[in-house]
Amino acid sequence: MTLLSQIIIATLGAALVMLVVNGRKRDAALRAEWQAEVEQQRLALDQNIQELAAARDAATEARERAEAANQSKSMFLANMSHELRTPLNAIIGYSEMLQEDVADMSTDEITADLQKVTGAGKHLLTLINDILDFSKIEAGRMELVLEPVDVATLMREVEGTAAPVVRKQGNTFAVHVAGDVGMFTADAGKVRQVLLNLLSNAGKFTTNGTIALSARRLERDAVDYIAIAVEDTGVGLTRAQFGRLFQAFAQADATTQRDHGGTGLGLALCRRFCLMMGGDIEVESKAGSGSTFTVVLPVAGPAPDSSTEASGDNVDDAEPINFHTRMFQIPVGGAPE
Amino acid sequence: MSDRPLHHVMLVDDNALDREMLSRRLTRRGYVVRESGNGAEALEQLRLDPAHIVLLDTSLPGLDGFALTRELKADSATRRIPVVVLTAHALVQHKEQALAAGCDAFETKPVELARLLATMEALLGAD
Repeated sequence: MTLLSQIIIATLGAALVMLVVNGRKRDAALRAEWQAEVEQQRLALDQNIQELAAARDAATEARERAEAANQSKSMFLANMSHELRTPLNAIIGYSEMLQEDVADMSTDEITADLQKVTGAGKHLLTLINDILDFSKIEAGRMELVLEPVDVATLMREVEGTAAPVVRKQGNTFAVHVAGDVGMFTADAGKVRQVLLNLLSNAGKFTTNGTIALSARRLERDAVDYIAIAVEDTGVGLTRAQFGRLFQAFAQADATTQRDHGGTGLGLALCRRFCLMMGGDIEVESKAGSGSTFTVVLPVAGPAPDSSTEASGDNVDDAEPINFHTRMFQIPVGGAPE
Repeated sequence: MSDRPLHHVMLVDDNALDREMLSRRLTRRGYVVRESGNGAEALEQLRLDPAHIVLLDTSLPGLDGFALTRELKADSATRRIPVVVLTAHALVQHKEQALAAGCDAFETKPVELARLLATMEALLGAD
């Protein structure tokens, strides 16, 4: 081997070593860069995970707070109901006793005054019951007691209970039950409550007029229904009032509460009950010449697959006028609850 | 009323006003009414001298209405006495709780006297 060739080999060798060393250095630099990149990504991911966990914790906490608030609202209503019932028990009980005492002594004026005390006490009690019923529905706990109901018998009971309220302001009470109405499946107590509420409203908003209660069968889309109508010749509804008709706590206007009383829960509850039983309430009204509220319920009861419990929806959110509901006229007028 | 045997009622309520009112109204209708404002005391009295029917508030000092009902229904000497729970707690849960404790009827306050009397007569008739 010549010296030259030895030098060339040595030079090449050195160059190779340099290349390898440089390559290793570059690799190391790249690796370090990648590692830094990966580390950065990992940190970002960690932070995302932490943020997600924090968001989840916040959501859980918010839900727990809302549940606790709902729970305390229910507790408040239950306690308030208890607190109000306690003095009412004495007010109603003692005034009824005094009426018995006074009846023996035939002092008519005192009897009449005591009847007013008892009446006011009982009215307060129905308001408490309405509020309690409504809160139960809101919480989705209201259950139906379904049973076969004889329409004619139900109508007779309702007529007997409602007659004094309906006739109060010089009104005539007309009741008509079609011959073929027969039986249907429903919660008799709730249907009664709905009809008494509608009749009481009709009585409140009608003076020297006629209130008609009627029951008949009807068929829609091959389904049999019982339709029970409460028709009055009273003040009727304006369109604005109509829109708020079935909203909880809403009354026709500010003066309604003052002039006619009520919690504004009555119709919202009535409609809820009817929806639970697979039916609805239909309204036709003409301001100045009366309203007709028709309770339409399926003869067979609510569909078996539908829950017999009210949904948790707030009645406030429920569409106030559904497809069954019709409205004819708009002008100014009075104000059902 | 006169041809009916005298029925003894044990009325247990810690609210003196409610107790006096219902006691007087029942007495007017021919019942013989004993009163107690304490659950434990009422249980002791009923064990010594059973009544025909017990009317019971739920929130009571000593022994609450649910516990008192359970005690009465667990003892063969007092098991057959009908127990009517009378309470201003009107939620379904209270009714379920009362029925689970073994009471025979549940009425809410304010008391609807006609309904309470009908309930009592039905329970006494079945006895």
